[in-house]
Amino acid sequence: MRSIHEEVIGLLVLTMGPAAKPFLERQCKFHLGKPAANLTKADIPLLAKWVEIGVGLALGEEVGAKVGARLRAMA
Amino acid sequence: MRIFHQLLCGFLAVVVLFAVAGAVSIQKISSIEAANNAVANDIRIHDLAATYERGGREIQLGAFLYSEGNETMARQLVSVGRSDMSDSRKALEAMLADSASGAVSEIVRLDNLAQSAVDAVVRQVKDHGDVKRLDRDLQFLEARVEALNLLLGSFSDSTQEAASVSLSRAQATARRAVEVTFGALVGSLVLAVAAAIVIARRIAGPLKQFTDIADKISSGDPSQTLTLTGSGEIRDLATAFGRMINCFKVMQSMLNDDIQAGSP
Repeated sequence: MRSIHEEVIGLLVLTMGPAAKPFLERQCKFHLGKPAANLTKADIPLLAKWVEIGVGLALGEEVGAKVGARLRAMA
Repeated sequence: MRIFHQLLCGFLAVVVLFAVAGAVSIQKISSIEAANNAVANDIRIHDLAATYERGGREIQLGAFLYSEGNETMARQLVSVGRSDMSDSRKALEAMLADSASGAVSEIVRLDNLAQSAVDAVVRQVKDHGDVKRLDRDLQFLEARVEALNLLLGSFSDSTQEAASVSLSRAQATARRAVEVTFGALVGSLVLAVAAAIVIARRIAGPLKQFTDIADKISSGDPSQTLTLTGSGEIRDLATAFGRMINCFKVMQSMLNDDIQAGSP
């Protein structure tokens, strides 16, 4: 069974390819204060919020909203 | 639809078109062969009728030579004439057993009458019969040979006409076969060119777009987005290409954040 960390990376890879892992590490480190490997389901709503903002800044708000919604669906 | 399937469908369409044209051409060739056989048959009948006529003339001339006392030449001519008539009659009877048996039986009847007239002339000469009787037998012979040749002539004309009709039909069929083959060739060419253009555009159009976007990104404009709609391999390539652009943008965004934060 895959961990939450792997599931989130798997979801982000669909949008941003190999940038998914460093992006997730950065979001977890700066906004959740923990390494990505320690992610739990309880972290997903907050993570989704920051991922939406981060992706929105890099790829546009529409893409950010889509990725955020998919992440929230995991919770 | 995948490009492989598109190419396969285009190829199969050309193959089907060629197969249909081939089937039609084979059918036409069969018709031409049948017409050719009919023409050959008609020409053979025409030749036999001509030989039959010549045989009639030969026995008539032979009988006349008998009456004039030239027995050697007469016997030879009558023999050759009878042989020609007999051979022709047998061949005609074999060839026209079903189709024109009425005409052949009439020919045979006149043939027999002509033969018996020749026999009568020969008998008169051998018996040193009455000159008037001999003249009358010669006239009978001439009349019968004329009647026989008249019948053979009309018979020959009708077979010649039939041969002409068969020949015209064969020519028309051959022309049609050439038209069908030419049409199939042109149709296949048009279809192949159209399929090649459509498939090439479907491949070359997106590739051009990919190249343009890649050029812009490599020249320092990361804001490019790929708005490509398609199917099959092109859609897969567009998805992978879009993901690559997104990766590049996210990495650049993180790099900018690092630079702003002053971290390495």
